[in-house]
Amino acid sequence: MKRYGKTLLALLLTVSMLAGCGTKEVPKQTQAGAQTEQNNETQNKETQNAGETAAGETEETPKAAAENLNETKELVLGSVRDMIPGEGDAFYVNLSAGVWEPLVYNNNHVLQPGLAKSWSYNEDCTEWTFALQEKAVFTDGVPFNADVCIQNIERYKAGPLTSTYTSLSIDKSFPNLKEIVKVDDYTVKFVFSEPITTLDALLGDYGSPMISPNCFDVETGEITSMVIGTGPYKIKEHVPDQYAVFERNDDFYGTPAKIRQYRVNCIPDSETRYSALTSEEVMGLIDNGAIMVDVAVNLTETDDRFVLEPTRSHMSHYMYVNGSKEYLKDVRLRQAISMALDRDLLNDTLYAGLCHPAYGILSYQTPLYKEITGEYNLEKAKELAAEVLGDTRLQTKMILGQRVVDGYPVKSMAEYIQSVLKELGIDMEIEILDNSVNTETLKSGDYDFGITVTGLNSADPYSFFQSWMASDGSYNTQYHWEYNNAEADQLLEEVLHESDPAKRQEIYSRLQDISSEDLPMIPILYYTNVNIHNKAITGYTSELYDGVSIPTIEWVQ
Amino acid sequence: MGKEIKVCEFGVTFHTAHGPVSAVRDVNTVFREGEVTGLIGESGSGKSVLGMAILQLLPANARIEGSCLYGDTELTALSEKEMEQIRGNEIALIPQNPVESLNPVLRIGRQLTEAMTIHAPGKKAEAKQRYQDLMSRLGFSRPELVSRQYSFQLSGGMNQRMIAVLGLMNRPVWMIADEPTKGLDAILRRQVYEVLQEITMRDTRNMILITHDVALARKLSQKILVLYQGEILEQGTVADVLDHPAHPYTRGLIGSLPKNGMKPIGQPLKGREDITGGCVFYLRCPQATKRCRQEHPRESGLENGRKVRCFLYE
Amino acid sequence: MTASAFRPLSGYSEPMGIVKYMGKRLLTLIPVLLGITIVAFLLGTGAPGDPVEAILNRDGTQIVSPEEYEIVKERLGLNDPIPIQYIKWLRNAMTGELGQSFFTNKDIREQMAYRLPYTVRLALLGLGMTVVFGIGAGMVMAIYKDRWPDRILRTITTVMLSVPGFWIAILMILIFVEQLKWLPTSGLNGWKSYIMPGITVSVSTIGVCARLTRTSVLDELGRQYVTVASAKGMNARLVAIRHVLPNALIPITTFLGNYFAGILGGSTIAEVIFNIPGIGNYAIDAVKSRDYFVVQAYVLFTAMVYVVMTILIDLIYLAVNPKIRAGERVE
Repeated sequence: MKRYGKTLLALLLTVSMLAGCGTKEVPKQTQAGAQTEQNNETQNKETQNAGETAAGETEETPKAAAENLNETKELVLGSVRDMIPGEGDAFYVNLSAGVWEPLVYNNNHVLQPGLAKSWSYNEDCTEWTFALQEKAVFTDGVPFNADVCIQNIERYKAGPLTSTYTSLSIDKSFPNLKEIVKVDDYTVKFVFSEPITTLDALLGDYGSPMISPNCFDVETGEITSMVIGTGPYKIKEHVPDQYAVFERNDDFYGTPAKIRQYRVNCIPDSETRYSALTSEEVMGLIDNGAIMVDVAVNLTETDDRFVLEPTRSHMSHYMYVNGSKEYLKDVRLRQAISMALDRDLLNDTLYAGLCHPAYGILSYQTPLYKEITGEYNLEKAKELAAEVLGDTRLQTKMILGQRVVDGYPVKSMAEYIQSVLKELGIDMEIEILDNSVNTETLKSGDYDFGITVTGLNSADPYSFFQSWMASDGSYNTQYHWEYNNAEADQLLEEVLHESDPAKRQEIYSRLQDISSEDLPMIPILYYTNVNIHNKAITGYTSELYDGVSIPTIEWVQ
Repeated sequence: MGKEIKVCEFGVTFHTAHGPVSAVRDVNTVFREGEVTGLIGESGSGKSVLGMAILQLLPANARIEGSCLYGDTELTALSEKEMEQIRGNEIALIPQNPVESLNPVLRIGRQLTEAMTIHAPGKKAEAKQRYQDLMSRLGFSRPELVSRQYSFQLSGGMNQRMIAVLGLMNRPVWMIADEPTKGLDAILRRQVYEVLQEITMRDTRNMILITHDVALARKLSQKILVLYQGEILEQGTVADVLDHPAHPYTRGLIGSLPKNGMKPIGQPLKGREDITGGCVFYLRCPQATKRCRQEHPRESGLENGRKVRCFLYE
Repeated sequence: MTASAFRPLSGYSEPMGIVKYMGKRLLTLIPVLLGITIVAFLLGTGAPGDPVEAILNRDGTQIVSPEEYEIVKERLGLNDPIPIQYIKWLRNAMTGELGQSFFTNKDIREQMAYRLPYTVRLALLGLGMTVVFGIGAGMVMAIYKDRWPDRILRTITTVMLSVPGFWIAILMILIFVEQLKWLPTSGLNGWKSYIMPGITVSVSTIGVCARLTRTSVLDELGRQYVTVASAKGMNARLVAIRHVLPNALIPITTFLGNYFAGILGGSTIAEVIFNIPGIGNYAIDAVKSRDYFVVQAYVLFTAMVYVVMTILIDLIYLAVNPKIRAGERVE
């Protein structure tokens, strides 16, 4: 045996060398962390550029030194999904990247000028006129003007164009559009066959992307090459599902972005994402569901490198109730259930108190919110439930979709509800389903309860209220709630034609009252987006509708 | 002196998981040149071990004691490399189990060639010529075809002849044939005998024939060594040992041959427990005495160069 | 001296026979592919879940209008009855046109072509590691049989083959990334990024391969022909290389071939955890979102790979083990 020992060992070495040649790639030099060779190259070029720009702009030396990190150090962030879904996606890149701009920005439901400087509408809301930015230029040199704006809108007609974020179609952004009129080089007028009161809300953010005509196909509406926008950043490099690199657009017509170059690493696995943050591979996490709130709270409490930045969210936790089922159709039982939930307890336990108890349908972070308080009273709830159920013990089922379970502590919430309902005489079993199966089950009506985390999809809450509360609303009918409130129906009819924002506010307030009394579904908590980042960066604000705006982030010097 | 093989106080012990096991003990003999020496004995007598020990081809847990002189060279003192030069070259082996002795995934021709090219690199063509000659001699009608085949494609008899070819490749001085007729039928045994005889006549007369086939030993050898349980109990000329066996064991062995009536040697007799220290044959010897039980007999010389290990002849 | 007559190798000459054999095996590809794609299609379309809904309402906040729904459904061809959908797909597939992903609208063939190298790279790495460490450890164990290297390695390999890949993956991330900061968490920044996925993919196979090698080598070392080779005067090194190894490697190569075929189908766990854009990752996402065409393409691909690999393994076995290749025994 020993005789062959040396030989076989030598063979081992030979084999290992051969294996090394054929299979592994030629080792590239990498530093620990996310920077690669290419980074180093671009960084070198950057410092050159930075030097030139500094000279060109004749900045004073102290200021240049102070901003140095922003110019030289690349910011690396982690996201759940690829920032650039790319070709095949209606928008090509996430709005928050700052590459393309819409006509109207939705900043927390306050509509602000984007590429449209200002707008107005006529008395019966059938004509809207938009004044466009005059200094905006696409990064391929094409100037933004009325012609380009109209070309973009024509593009929506090829839709609905599907996307990771939301679909883009002419009917969604410009319902009942009759005619587009170019008034002059920087003014456009839209004429509608039906009055429309909230056009600007529909156009907010993903409702009106403006991109260079050179990058999309006129017939199909598909974006055919890297998207070109007018925004504060432009796309520099992209490896699908790996990372995307953006660099500052120095020709941007508005306030320039702080950091010269940033990269977003796509890290779909939650464990890996967490590790990336703690090992400082990334400086912060963006994207919904990037980190669970309690995990984030825990991290910031135990590790002082990180800080939590709650930013606004329009999402809320709602409990679906299948109103078509016996007993559940009785509003008293629904009220009993709502009364039995200790929302403060849930908030403190699951979200470290960062969220907000919900009694009305609309989130407290939306401008049209009406403050509605409710009551937590387990005894009263039991009595109320007894009135409806008598001696019967109700057997029920709650279904949860995988998406919400993955992104939020909804399972714990469900278990809490389960224990509470037991006291009311309702036995509830919990089923976690695949997303598609969950939707199908909801549509088939084969459930009693569900929990979802959802919110408005535009600044105009009309469609939201409509689906949840109107007798013919899509959620109501599809999910078998059989909710029927004549007053709600009438109010919804009215608000569609109401052009006075103040009056609209009144109507929505009344609708919120109805939602909390009549409970077509049971609101539980209003959600807060929790963004976590390394203290090395600052400037996290929530300028956007949902999420973090990147142009304001900068390094702490 | 020439190239005789002389073993003195030669022994082999295996170090097993159950402790040391002595396979061969106290062997003193000279394998003379120009002679075929037959090593006969039952299974387990240690004859193959002795043969392999000369070539130093024992497993790693074997220890060799004593001396084994090949001409002037002390084989037990040689390095592995030096021993390699002797194996297959000067002392060659015709192994047991022909079918198992050839590598099943290599062609025969290649295995034959390498027997020569190991010792004389670059002589591939000569090797080819050599084995073709040998194969023709040994009855293969189409050597080129056979050389491209694999061992499992040949019959048992063909394999047997093939390993003979293998052994002869380098015209060795000594040939050790290990159990050449084990498990073969009468026809094949005859073939083997013919091959071996031809070897002794044409190639080399220096042969150690290890076998349990007494008839074969008688036909081929000039000298006989009788082994039992690792010890040589009797050694002498063929005529002396086989016709006039001296040791009780040898007598029993001869008596048990078919032509002599197949009288068996006795089973271990009652009343004789497993005793160490006495004569190895004590348990089954019909002529055992009390002394045989306690003392270990040494070899005693008789006339004609004969030796017997028995107290009867002291 | 009589020589037994023998027949030469059967009628056909060796190379021709192999080609015919390969041809026959490749023909079996067709019914296999048909069968598997039909089953996959039925399972995919039969499973609950609506791809249109999935596309239009990804984050659960979108309210999908019926008009939009209908337009997209029509566009995806989902209004046709299922057999027609399958036949349309089949027709396209035969010309190499695999369609577009519902979800990303990207051309599936392009995506597969883009992703395949990553999976192949990972597979090759896994194979390489198995060969080096598996066979290597096995040989060490055989050489030092029953001594301490053998005993230690035996324990280690047993643990290796019992441990699930994903557990190792998470453990490694914990140690090497968070604690030691030696390696990147994910993505493909150079060769360092392949280390952990490579280990994940090969850990249990290394364990099995080592055991297999140990047994195989020990078997061979005990054979008579090894002694005979030494008796020729061959030194130990030559015996090991020329005689022992070819025999010992036979069962190992077939084992490795099977393993490789398996991981070519995409080592999904490693790809998901480390975010490697291979085809395994692609398939998982497609299954979750009911992206039928992608699943079909994946199934098609892996079926082909498997059939081809088994043919290759057979060929390798043929080449390496002459007993299969040669003809009848001779009398």
